[in-house]
Amino acid sequence: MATASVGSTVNLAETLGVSNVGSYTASLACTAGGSPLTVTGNTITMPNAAVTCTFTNTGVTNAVTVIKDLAGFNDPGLFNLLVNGTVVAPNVGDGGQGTSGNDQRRHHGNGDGNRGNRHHSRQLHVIARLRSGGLPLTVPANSRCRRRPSPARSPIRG
Amino acid sequence: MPAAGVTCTFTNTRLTNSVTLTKSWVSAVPGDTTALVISGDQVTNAAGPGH
Repeated sequence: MATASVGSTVNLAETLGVSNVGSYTASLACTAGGSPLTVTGNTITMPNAAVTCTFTNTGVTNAVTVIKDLAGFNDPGLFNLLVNGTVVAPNVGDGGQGTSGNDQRRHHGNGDGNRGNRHHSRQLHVIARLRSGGLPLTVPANSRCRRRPSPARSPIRG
Repeated sequence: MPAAGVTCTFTNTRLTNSVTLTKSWVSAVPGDTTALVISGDQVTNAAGPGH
């Protein structure tokens, strides 16, 4: 355990690993004898009490938006849009969208309710790590995810 | 006073206290690391970089 002379300047530092994948915001907080201690530029003036300091790194996250875009013909089908296995927009049609951590979605075009064909719902899985820099990010934020149904498939019955 | 030269010394020992540096991760990517360092002219027994 490190010790420091009372009244002296103590420098606190951290160096992130060169092979780290995530991006982080960092903060430093210290207590002395259980009370908050002033930290200035990662340095403290040693008080006459035991000091505990903590560097906290918080992973930077960003939202991933998935948009359903049906191209080519008038498909009444409904789709569940998922991010990392979590449904962000259930039963949406053309133009439907969902955002991770956000329940907002919109319906228009052929997204006409359930239409009695829930078994027809397809799931669009997006493999994406929500941490910035947390590869792999198969579908980056703000990209459009498009599924083009095969024109030769059988009609869907309700 | 003895029949000899006398030398007296006041000794002031500077107070010290412990400094502990810890790490907290929030929403971290598994496997990511960091090295922690405590330094200063009046710091002793600072352990090597920890993760």
